[in-house]
Amino acid sequence: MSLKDKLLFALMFVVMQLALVWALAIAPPDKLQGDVQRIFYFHLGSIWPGFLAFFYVLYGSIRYLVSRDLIWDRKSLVSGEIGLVFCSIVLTTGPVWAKPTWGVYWAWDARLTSTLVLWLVFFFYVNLRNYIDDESKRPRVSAVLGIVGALMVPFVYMSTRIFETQHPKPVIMGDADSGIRDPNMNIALYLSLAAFTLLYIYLWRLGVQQMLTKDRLKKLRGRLLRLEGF
Amino acid sequence: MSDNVFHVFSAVLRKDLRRELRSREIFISSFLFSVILLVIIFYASKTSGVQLEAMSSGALWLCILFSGTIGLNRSHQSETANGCYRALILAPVEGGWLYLAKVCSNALLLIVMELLLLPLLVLFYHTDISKNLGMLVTSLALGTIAFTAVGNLVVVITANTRMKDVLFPVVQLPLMVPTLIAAVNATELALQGKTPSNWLQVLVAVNVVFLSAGFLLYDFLLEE
Amino acid sequence: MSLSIRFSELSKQFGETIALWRVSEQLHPGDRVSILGHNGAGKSTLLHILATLSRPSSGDISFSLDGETCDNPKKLRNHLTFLSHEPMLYPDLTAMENLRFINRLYQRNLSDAQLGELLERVGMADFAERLFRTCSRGMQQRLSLARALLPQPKLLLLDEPFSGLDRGGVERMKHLFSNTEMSWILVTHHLRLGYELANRFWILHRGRMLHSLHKRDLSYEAYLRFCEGSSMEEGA
Repeated sequence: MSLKDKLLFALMFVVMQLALVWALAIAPPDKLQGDVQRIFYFHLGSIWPGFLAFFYVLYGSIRYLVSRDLIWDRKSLVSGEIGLVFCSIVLTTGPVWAKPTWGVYWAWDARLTSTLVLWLVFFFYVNLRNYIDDESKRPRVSAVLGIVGALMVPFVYMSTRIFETQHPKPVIMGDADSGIRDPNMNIALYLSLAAFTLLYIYLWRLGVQQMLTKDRLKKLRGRLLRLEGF
Repeated sequence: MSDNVFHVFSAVLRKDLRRELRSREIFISSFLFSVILLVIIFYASKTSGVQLEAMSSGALWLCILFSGTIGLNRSHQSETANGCYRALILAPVEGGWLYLAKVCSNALLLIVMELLLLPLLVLFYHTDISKNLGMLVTSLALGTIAFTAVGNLVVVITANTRMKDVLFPVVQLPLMVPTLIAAVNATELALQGKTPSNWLQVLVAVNVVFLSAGFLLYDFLLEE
Repeated sequence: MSLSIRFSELSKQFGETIALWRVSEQLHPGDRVSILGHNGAGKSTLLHILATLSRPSSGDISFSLDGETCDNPKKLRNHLTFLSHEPMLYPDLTAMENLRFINRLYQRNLSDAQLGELLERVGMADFAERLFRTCSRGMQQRLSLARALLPQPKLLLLDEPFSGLDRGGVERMKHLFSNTEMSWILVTHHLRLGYELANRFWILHRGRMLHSLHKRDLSYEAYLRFCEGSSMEEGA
């Protein structure tokens, strides 16, 4: 682990503790929802790196297609994997929060639908390569899928939003995050956003290093096999 | 250069249409599938108490989505069957124009099928299609082109995998969500006699973004 | 117009499998090359790279047209065609329609009469209006040859072109390949045909170029010994 990674880890650790303290203890409970609302800090905290990861997949895929340098494929793949994890967190914390607040685990809210689609797109981006036998095709085909998927995401948000404004909302779906009044709530939110972003960056760096080490190991193994074979 | 481009585009388009006119395999299978779907949708949603006419836009788009997926898959299979796709890759042509020709031929086939489905909608679902026919056709056409623009990319992406027949619809459908939402609502409003400008804007945007993305990205898919 | 190719240290890996390993050679205009080797020696992989169909994992390959380096695959593809055991023609189109499509794709502007002559050359003149689907395997292979010859390429890449052909078809193809100005590269298991037709031989073994030989100083017996060195067996 390099010094940079160690510093990053330390910073992440501190910010994460602060975020926990603020979110769970210092920030006051929501007037309407009570303590349940505290999950919001983790919920929103995870969707943000999810988006970040997605933009990175778009960026990295374009860079790969232009340069054909495998490092960009690895970087986007790791980003996609982490994005998938964060999206899964959003999709699990969402219903936990929704049940006591809205009375149901799932509602066809624009954000919910979009996140579900985002999750599916991430899922296919990360997993499609396992079904491509030809290793030289894998990064290229995945990159194209990454770009197509990423370009579709804004449209998912756009269409679900327009859909909502044109159709009457069910009564159970009051706007949940309109209740932020207290400055401590804001601090807790920003702290958790920072903590999750640092977590994303840290995991990403770790993942890329791991991926490169794996590649190197594979190469060395191939070389060894050749030495033994010929 | 423009002459060159037109040659490739028209050659592929004419070849696709001629092949389909002769075998009619894509058209017949998608059309019959759609008719069966219309019947199934009626029985599946009858108990919910939704009015027949109110179902027609959704039913129509389900038909387009599912039979279109079958059609795109079949169309690509007939291209790969004899190694023909390799001949296209090896030809001195720009992948982008190949892509546009494929989108064009697939969209044309689907639009013809939709025009034949409309009378059936009138018959089965008592839909009044005459309220704003122009907008109806516009919504259908824009939605169909958006569908084939994305579908033609996804079909080549998944063709590189070993489970292509299964993966194509599965990967394709989530990417179709915005197109479907916009197209269903646009069609619905057109059937009510309104002008669905919001939704048409979304469809136009999807078309512009994905036709250009496909034009630029298709070359990357044409390597072995 | 002439086409020559120079490649050095060409490698291609599929995952951990090595299909080609540091292969270097040159191809001059007028060369007729037989690539020989047992199954999995990397013959088709090399052919695919030369056809601009796939990219090497490492190494350099440079094409030159009339002495000028050309790295635009679109431009190169105008001058090279590929013939394999796959016909690459549409089953629901007739022989003539298939050729017209290729004609448009390559923008050769040949008239129907010229396309008819081409069919004549491969011995398919009587079947111009026949649906490709209904043609026999051998007829399909002849049509495929017509497809490959249509753009008048400078280099023809042949991957087992004789499969499915009857004696007449093989004779006709032999005649075409030995009386032509263009260069070609042939991958085949027919050791005899490979020797008769070519003037150069590349013998591959486990992804490496084992021998690169010229015919002028090589008897058939010596040639066979080289081939046996790569543990091949005489084809059918």
